[in-house]
Amino acid sequence: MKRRWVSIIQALTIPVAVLLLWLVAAQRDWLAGGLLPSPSEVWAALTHLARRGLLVRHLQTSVLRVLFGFSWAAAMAVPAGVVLGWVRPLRPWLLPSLHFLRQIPPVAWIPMFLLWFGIGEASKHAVIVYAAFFPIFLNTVVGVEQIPRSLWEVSRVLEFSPGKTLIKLVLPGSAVAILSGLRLGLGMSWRALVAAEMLAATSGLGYLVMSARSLVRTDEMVVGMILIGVVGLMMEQLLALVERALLPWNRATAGRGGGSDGSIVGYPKRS
Amino acid sequence: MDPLLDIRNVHKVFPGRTPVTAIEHLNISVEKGDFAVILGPSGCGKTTILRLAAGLDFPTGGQVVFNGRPVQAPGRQRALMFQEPRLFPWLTVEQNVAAAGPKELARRSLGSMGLTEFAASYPHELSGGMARRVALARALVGQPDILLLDEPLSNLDLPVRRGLQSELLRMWQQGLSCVLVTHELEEALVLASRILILSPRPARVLWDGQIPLPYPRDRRSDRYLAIKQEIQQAMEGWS
Ligand SMILES: Nc1ncnc2c1ncn2[C@@H]1O[C@H](COP(=O)(O)OP(=O)(O)OP(=O)(O)O)[C@@H](O)[C@H]1O
Ligand SMILES: [Mg+2]
Repeated sequence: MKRRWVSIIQALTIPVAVLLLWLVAAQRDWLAGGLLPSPSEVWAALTHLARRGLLVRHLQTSVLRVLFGFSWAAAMAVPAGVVLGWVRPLRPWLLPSLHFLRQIPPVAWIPMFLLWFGIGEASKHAVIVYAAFFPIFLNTVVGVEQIPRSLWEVSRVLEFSPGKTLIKLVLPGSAVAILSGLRLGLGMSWRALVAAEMLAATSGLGYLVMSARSLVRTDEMVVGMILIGVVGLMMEQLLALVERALLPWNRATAGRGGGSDGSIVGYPKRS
Repeated sequence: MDPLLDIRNVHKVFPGRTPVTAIEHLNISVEKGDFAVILGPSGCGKTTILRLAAGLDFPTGGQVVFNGRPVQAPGRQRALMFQEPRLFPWLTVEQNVAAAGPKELARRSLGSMGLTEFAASYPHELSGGMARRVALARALVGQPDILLLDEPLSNLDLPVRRGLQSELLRMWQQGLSCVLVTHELEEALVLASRILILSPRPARVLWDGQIPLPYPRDRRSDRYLAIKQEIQQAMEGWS
């Protein structure tokens, strides 16, 4: 368990150093001019927002939006990716268009989504679904593609039905890639949501940051930004835990190159 | 009566920049009840023959016939034990074996190979010999008519080898027909009721004969040594 402590200390070194530097800078009045608030001002803004219930409200709104949109994205992207990874003849028809769509960042869709779905929740959900879809989908395709031919042959020799092939071979064989796709997709949709909330929303953490700007409340901006980072980090860590729980066979091989520890599976090449 | 497995004038050419002819004019008939050992030098096309028999690959010319019907796809009646164990890394030992047949049979099959203790282990926790035994258990659980074995004993130490050998003989004596390919003469002589010797690639049959010796084989008996010598002579075609 000693390793764990070491890595926690390593992870915290830079944040703590930055915080100390920030405190010192505030103390020596280097921050005058109002471009950056002092840590105590940020803390005050945080407690103030919390007391008025705004913090929980914005946080909750954003998280719920992401969970809703992300679930839909996962529910569509995993099956679609499995089908495309499995049924090779479909790929040359679909992959080029999908790679084209992938180039258009979620933010660029916001004006269109606002037009189609209005200013309400639906447009935010659309942004999230779009943002999460591609990482999940493309990782799933790669995951299914990477299942060794030797194991496909075993499934044929044992005469697996399509359902059995799915459960015994395709899903577990691509699980590592799917889960890392889910993690990527969650991060993408979180960042896209914040952007959407900044452009068109009346609630959420993105809105918090943007509305602080119009009042030049740098303290609230920083609160919002830090929360966005912390929540994103927590969601990713949560998925990493799920990953470890779901893939017991993978633990032994992880870290020896083919690990599940945050390694990002690349996108398939165009062919 | 028709042979169980009939390889009729089979050619196999692997296309590519330089096409490889793995098999040429190959004729092998395996009768029901045979323990046929196909003995061939490395790279002569042994694995290819088994893949054709299993239905994973198809001949460029000729025909592979099983039970009177041309082989068109893999099937459970023809169990193939690959050269590598090829276990599913995400399934436990028991799940791997049960993927091939009823759970009850899987348990029994694991038990008879002395693997009960490892039923809940994952493949990466097994030694090479154990993984091989799991692969054999899996091949048997589907209750095949014929068992196709690709060098099942190579690279195993003596005790593990002996164990697997007697396991194979036991299955055969219970009525399972076997086709085993190897490049090791000893392995062939210990198991085979019939031996076929192949030429270097492209594979042709150089020698084909019954081995009318009782089991377990006595490696010092005169008849054993006489047969061994005859086969060694046939194997001179290898170099
Ligand atoms: N899929 C393939 N594509 C191209 N060539 C192949 C393929 N499979 C086998 N070959 C070639 O066919 C020949 C016979 O291969 P095969 O694997 O059947 O030999 P083998 O007797 O099983 O060898 P070993 O004793 O090393 O297992 C080799 O020259 C090999 O390179
Ligand atoms: Mg081989």
